[in-house]
Amino acid sequence: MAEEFILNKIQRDALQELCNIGMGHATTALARLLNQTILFDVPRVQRIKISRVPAMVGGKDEMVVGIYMRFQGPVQGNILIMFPRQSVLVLQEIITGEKKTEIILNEYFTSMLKEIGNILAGSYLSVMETLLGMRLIQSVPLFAFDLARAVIDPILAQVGEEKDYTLLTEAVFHLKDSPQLTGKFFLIPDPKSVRLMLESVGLAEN
Amino acid sequence: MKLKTIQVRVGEWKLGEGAVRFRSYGLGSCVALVLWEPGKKIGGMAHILLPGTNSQIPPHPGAKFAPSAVKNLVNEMKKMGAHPQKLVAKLVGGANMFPKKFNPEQEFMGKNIGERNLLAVRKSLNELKIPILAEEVGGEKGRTIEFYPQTGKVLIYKSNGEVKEI
Repeated sequence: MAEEFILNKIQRDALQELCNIGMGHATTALARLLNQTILFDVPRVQRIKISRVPAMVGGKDEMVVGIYMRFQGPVQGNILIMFPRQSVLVLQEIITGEKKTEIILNEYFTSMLKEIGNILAGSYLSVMETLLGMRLIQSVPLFAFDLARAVIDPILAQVGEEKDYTLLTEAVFHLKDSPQLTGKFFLIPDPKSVRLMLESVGLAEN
Repeated sequence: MKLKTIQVRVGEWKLGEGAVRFRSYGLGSCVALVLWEPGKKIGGMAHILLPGTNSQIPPHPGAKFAPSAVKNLVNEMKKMGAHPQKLVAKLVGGANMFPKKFNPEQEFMGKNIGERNLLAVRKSLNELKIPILAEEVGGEKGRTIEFYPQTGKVLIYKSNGEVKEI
């Protein structure tokens, strides 16, 4: 089994700053799309045991829309954006202009949600490209509507083969004028990319 | 009577007997393997993440990979006094979390991770001649599962509100 990586305070701070700038760009792009002011909390960066990730991403019965994208390049990994059920209802109202008590996942609405994922991830990744000095390619978004803890499974399968621990960065964002619209932005690099990511922010161990 | 609940997280296996309840939340592409020895009411549950059928993968002490999860669980149940020839299995999970109806433009990428997990678990059970009594697998919905080794009952709560018993 490959050696587990470590994450010291300096590395954590550097990655947190990278997430901060990434989220700044991502939420600005979304704000433009929705014509709303969007705020985000201080991103959280952690080295976490894979078995603990599902409980981190959502409550035991929490239903979410999940938009999943892979990114590839010198650094590879996964981006997952989650909107809890209540937030999907608010987004539905903003996007369709109709207030409903039920989520209707027709083709138009799911494409719009995927596009939101695309825009958030794209702006975030363009910051990473600049700060890490590399070209990154983003995949087509995949859409899920299910338990948060189940939606994360295929991503854990993606990163869990080599290691028992993963790097997880998480940022919560919300609409300024409509606090019931919140979303979570997760970035989970592939295990083989963690070291290069730390090196690229100039802070590899040794 | 309030049962003690044994939570089984992803990549873990747990053992218990008699008046206990095993529970795993939010199985997506993961597979929950339930092993039961009806005579002694000994139960074991593994929350499997990956098929792990690549021969380069070294044995893992947990339940991350199907082959080592099955082996570990069987060995530990034997240590608890379970008779290996009396073990029976039930399988839950292995769903596709990104349904075709939401992702029509997605190209066919071969079997998804849920299906591959199921195939790998069935293969490992077959090698040890452990019969699979029931399955609630595949599909496109997440599941929470409970297993009661006192009776062998497995309850499945699907994300669309359906409840099943196997």
